[in-house]
Amino acid sequence: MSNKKFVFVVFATVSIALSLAGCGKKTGEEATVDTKSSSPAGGGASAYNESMGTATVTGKVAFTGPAPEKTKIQMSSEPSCLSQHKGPLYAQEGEINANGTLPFVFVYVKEGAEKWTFPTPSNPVTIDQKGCRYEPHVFGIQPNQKLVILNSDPILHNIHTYAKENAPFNLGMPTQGMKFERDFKKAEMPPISIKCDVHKWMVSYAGVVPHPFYSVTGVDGAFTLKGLPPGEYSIEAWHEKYPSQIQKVTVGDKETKELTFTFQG
Amino acid sequence: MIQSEPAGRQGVADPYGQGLYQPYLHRFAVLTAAASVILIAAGAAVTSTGSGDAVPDWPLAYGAVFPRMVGGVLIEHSHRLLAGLTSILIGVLGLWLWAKEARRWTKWIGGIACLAVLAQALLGGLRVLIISQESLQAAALRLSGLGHINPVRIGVAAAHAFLAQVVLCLTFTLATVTSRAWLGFAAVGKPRSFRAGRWLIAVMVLVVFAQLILGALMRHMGAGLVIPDFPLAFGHWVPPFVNLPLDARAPFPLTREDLLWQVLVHYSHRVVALFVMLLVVGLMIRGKRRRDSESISGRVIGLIAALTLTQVSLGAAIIWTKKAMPVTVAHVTIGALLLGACISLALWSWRAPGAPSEVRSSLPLGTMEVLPQ
Repeated sequence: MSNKKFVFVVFATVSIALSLAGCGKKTGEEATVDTKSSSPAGGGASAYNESMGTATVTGKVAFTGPAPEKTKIQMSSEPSCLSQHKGPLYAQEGEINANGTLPFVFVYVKEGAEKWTFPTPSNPVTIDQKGCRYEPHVFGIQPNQKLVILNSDPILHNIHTYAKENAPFNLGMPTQGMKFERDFKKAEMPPISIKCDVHKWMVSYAGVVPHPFYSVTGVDGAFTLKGLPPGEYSIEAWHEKYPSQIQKVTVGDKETKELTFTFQG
Repeated sequence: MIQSEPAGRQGVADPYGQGLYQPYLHRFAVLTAAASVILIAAGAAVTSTGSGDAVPDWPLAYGAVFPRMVGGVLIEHSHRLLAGLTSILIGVLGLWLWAKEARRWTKWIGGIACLAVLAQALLGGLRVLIISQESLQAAALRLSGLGHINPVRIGVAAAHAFLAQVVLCLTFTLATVTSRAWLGFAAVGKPRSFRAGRWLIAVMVLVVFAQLILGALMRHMGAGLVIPDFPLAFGHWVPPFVNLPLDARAPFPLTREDLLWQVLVHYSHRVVALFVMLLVVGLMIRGKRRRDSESISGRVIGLIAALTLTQVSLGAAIIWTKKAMPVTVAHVTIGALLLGACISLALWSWRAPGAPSEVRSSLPLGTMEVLPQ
């Protein structure tokens, strides 16, 4: 083979490989969902039923110390998003409630629920990209539970999960009204970071736990874990900015216990 | 006027059998080498801003050649466009060399550069698709036998960075060997005088190359700030490897194993930097002994010393500024320039033995005359 022919063959081969690599699933293609349920707990666990869950743990997440410096979000490059908000926008990690409590804290049973298996919820969890923010900012979901991903913005986003236990995904959502469905196969804590790599301020956290005993604090800083069978539990309060906290609690039949977590600024 | 006849035809000793100086070809080679440096800088901007996955599809971007350039898309897609431009430049250079260059080995370097930049583009695409294409991710996991895609992602990203440096070396080589000085015209000083240091320079090239790969690995592992202080490491000259500060309550805690690997890679990068500095001091001492400051090698050594000093300062500034993006990009860019300067110096030092020992700079272009020994 002459030199010229050799060069031509090499170039043609690489070009074909290049083309094939680009012939994947198109952006925006509707995803198929594997909704098979799985047993979240290990062997020897018994099935949970609602009649067992008579106890409740409730409480609040307080914040002490100086308030963190707020990080202002520069959204001027996206006027369609900016117009959906009133006043300046700040990163949600630095928010403190007016009553001195902390929002966006994921409170869940870390230990104590392993002895039961839980059915995969049939209702999906929805995350929306709206006004160049994720709604919700922090949420809980169970393994194999359907996650519906929406883009309500008239601009493009990508949604990228930085999962460490689960398979990460990165979906392009260039048009308004796009919808995908995905799920996480395994429990994963700390929560999975979900980011838009186009708009760096867009971030959300998904705590994937193998039971329904989780709660996210809101504007009142309160949380409630309902339906717990009597027993001893480790409850963890997780926040994206501050060190996690764990408390042990023992609840009896039809008992409600109150806990307070205090995060130091 | 530039004559186009090979020097050998004029009866001049020409131990390398090289062709004549082609100014436009050389300028184009320099432009291509500059483009490869700019491309590496753009790649550093992508990594530093975490924009590598802002465009989940490849080779198109959100199904288009020109998507809406905003935020991470602007950074990632600009990198892709620059990569395309650099690939075209390298392709044209390769074809030009193939058509017009007399030296066969130079043609082959051009050809290898073409293949390397194509492989580089494919690796860049693979780096993106391995996360966004679920079937590809599953295939990569099956092939690697790993439980998670993250090590594969880091491996592909590091390979992408490795090939970027290879492409840089090849383009700097082409820019050097097509130069007028290389071809013996208007040579400045005495390249031969530096022959004795050529092994030192070869070691320097290998060490700087390894250092850049370590740096790339560190960036892609996210280990740039795992040692938070400088010049000390956790308050010591050597990190306490058996007792590293592990914060289990951190919002996103590292495992002990991950922390150890990150500290090892980061600290290795610092140690190798020290080794590079020692090599530069060695080169400067050798150059000074030989009163080489006015020669090509002397000038390149001066440049290498300046680049190394700047590079170490920028490395420290990365820690002190907590990885400010412009500082990180400058650090990666200077690293690329340093490798390019080392390659150029190495080529000169290895060329020297058989090269004409001295060449009159006043000779008309297109002629060569070897002075008596």
